[in-house]
This record gives sequence, C-alpha cells and structure tokens, in this order.
Amino acid sequence: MLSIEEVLKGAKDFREKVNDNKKVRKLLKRWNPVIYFETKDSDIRITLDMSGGQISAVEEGHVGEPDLVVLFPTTENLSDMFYGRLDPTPMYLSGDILVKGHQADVIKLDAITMIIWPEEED
Amino acid sequence: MNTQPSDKKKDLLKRYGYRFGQMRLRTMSHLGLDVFETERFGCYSKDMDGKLFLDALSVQGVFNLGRRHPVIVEAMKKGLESLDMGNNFFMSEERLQLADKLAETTPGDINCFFFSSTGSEAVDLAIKVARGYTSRPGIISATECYHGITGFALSTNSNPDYVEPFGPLVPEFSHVPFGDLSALKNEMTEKTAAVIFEPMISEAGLLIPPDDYFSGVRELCDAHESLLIIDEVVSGLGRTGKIWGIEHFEGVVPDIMVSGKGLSAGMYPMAATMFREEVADFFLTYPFCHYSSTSGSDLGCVAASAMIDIINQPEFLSEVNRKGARLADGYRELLKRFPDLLESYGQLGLHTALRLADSSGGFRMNHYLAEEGVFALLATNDTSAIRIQPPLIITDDEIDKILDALGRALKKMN
Repeated sequence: MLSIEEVLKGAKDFREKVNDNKKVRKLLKRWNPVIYFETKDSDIRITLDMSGGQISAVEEGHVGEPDLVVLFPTTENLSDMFYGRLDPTPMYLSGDILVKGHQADVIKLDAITMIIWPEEED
Repeated sequence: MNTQPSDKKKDLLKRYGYRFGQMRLRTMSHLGLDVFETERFGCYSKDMDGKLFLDALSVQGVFNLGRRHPVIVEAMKKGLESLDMGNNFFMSEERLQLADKLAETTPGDINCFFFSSTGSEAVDLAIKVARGYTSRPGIISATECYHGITGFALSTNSNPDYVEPFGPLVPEFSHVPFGDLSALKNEMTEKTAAVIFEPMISEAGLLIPPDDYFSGVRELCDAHESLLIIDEVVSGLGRTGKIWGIEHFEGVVPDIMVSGKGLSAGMYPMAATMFREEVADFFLTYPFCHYSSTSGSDLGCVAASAMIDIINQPEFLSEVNRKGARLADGYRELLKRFPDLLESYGQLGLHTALRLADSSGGFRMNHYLAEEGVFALLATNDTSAIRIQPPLIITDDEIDKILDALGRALKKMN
C-alpha cells in the first residue's frame, strides 16, 4: 500500500501532465467537475478540481461537492492510473473500480488519459 | 471472452479510429463492440473475425424485421429495375401508395404526410409546423426525452451530454417530468405551441406513464389550443404489440405523429411526419417552406410499403405480444435470481428494458452481453438501464438465448 505522500505526488504529476497538454486544455474547456478518488485498501481521499480544461487543484481529503467519485481497489492502482500505467476502463467494466456519477464524465476522464498517453503504435 | 483481433481487423480498426474518431472506437472496444459487420441475416450479424452477434436492440427499431428481410430485399430489387430516389419536385405513385397504407393505420384523421430521411428531420418538421400553425413559440418535452440530433429536435433534449457543447439552443423550449400531469399543467401557457412526447420513453429505460396520462395531456393541449406531437420513431410499427404506441392509451388522437427507423425495414433511410387534416392546412399558405432533395425517395417508399404489408399480416402483432410476454417471464425469473443487482423491468410487446440497481449497470451489462455475443444498449438518459428491443421477427429460441446471456452476464456482475 502506498502512502498518502506517494499517491498525492502521483496526482500532482498527473495535474502537471494534464495542464501542460494544449489539446486537453482546448477540448475540455467546458468540463468543470470535482472528482473524488478513493481506494478500498486505505483511507486515502484525493480531490481533483477541474476548471477551464485544467486541473486547478489537487487536495488531500474531500473538498467540495463531487460530480464523480472513483473508487479504486488499491493505492497502487490509483497511482498507476495517474502515471498512465493502468487503463481504468476494463477494471470499471469488471466491477473492480466503482464509479458514482455520469457515464459521460467517465468517458471524458478516459479521453484525458488517451490524449496524454496516446496508444502506442504496433 | 475477448479474443485478439486478426491483423487485418487491427489495421482496419486503426484506420477507422483515425477517420471516424478515436474515442468512439476506444469506448466500443472496451465494451467488446468494435465490430466490423460482414454477414447479416435475421437477428444476427457477424464480425469480420467470425464472432456472431445476436441483435437484442434492432438499432432501436431500425431492424424491426431483422436484417435483409427477404420480402423487402425482393421489393427493393424489383424497384431498382425501374426506380431511383425520384425527382422530389414531381409526384410519385410510390409515395402515394405508402401514404395510403400509413393512413389506414394511423389514429383519427391523421391522413396527411411528409416523408424525410431521418427521425430527427421528421421531428424538426413536426415542431416547425406546430410553431407555424399556432403562431406560438413554446415547445414542452419530457425531461427524460430524446427526439433527435438536429436543431429543433435537439432543443427538446435536456441531457447535457447531448446539448451542452452546442448551446444556446433554440429558445422557448422547456421540460417537465414525464408522466406528471400537474407539472405539465403548470408549464403550459398561451405561448405553448406544442407538447411533444414519446408514448413511452426508451432512452430512459422504458418509462411507461399511467393509463390516463395521455388523455390528460390531450385535454390540456385542447384547453390551451396547443398541439400534441407524438414521437413514434422507436415505439411505432409494431414494437409495443400495437402498430402505434399511442394506441395503448385509448381514444387519444395526436395532432402530429412522427415515425422513422424501422419504417423502411433497415434498407433505406425513411421517416414520416404525419398530420391531422386540419393541421396539414398549414401547408396551404406555406407549400414550399420545408423541402429536401433526397426526402421521400421512391425506393424508400417501396421498402416501407412492403414493411407495412408484413406488420399488417394477421398474427404479426399477437406474436409480438406473445414473444414479449416470454421475455417478461424470463425477466421475472432473473429478478428472483438476482434481487441485489436487478431493480425492475419494463415491457410492452417487445419494447423492453431492465433496470439495474447501480448507475453504471447499463454500461457494464452492455460489456458482459457483448462477451456473450448479444448486442443490446444502455439507456443513455438512465445509465442504470439496458434496453432490450430485439427484432420483432425473433424466435422463441433466440429470446431464450438472450435470457440465458442475461443470466450469465448478471452472474459475472455478481
């Protein structure tokens, strides 16, 4: 199990990657959700606040009213998603990742990961 | 089980994503629905890598008669010997024949028609005529509705996923919860041109209103001199066990009805806007206000006329009802087996949906059914629900296959 510092570092690195990406900033300009990330194996809670196509804040704990709550099985899974090492959708479909919120928001989150980590050429 | 696509399919998928959208392809791939259709017949289609899919959706009614129904194929082949789309400035016997056949099925004096290519276009025209005929701007639709993707039709929608990037939409559109007469009463004013509803809302997991709802809606429309538009694009043409879904609400005659999707049995894009005689008078003063070079195609009319002959055959609708009841029996069994996963079901004829307890249930069920070789679709305005609307020609054996697949999918989700 990772520590809160390690998971937070992942979230902040993810923020940097997202905010550096011109395409994300342009395409998700109108998407302003508050997203909670949680894990089943820990009490770690992280809030990402998106605004104007950027992650405006990464906070420890629950901050504000969430539009989307994503519950990962482990802190390692959550961190892997922040570094593009885990495609969360198959785990979501298998029920390992639980989501509370709109399907369209899940797709937008998936779109961000696709933009910042484009699928590799064979 | 997911299998690796062949090299040929991989290459085509890559090119397809580039041409038609990476994210759409990615989502369909996650669901196990990155299918390149090759063979298509009856209730089945085959992926280029050989996987057979049983169609439990009919593309919401487009394939009511299954794929390439032999009677429709023959009618089209015959039509192709002498016809094309037709010159839309001229008259057309094929168009007239289809209108005559439709008029025999429609309630009251809905006897006048305009044919177009898609349901969205047909809804747009219904709203244009309502506004023009009443000289009022207001349009009221259901909060849970879906009526199409074009300007006026899109403006009836309240789901932000469909409308949010495109605002502001057409003004003077408002929404009320479906089935709530007092909410509608409060929303109607002297500015209301029309109220537009489906008889039962498919996109929200089959919402069926109370029996007296539409007679109440009719009375409110009459009291306010507003028009009642009924969108039968999904519910019409036999889907609910009656030719039109509104027939389930006795004595209700809409002012305008809209049909599409299955109208030409999946062989040619066709839709219809159908008017009461008095409402069609609007075209006396604006005969050329709405026109499309490719609408009301002669070939499409040939296919649609053949389709109507099929659904008008004796026993066709009673078979739809019998098969719908078989599906509902299976749903009740599933509800008993999976009480924590399944919440409820809706069913009228073969217009059905299952509602799961979880808001991601429809999406996940979509995936597990695809693994089982069954194609259904989550309800986009209520993602806890999955729509099961198989072709009306489905056999008992195929219904049982869908039920077995649902059982296995629910077991995996459990």
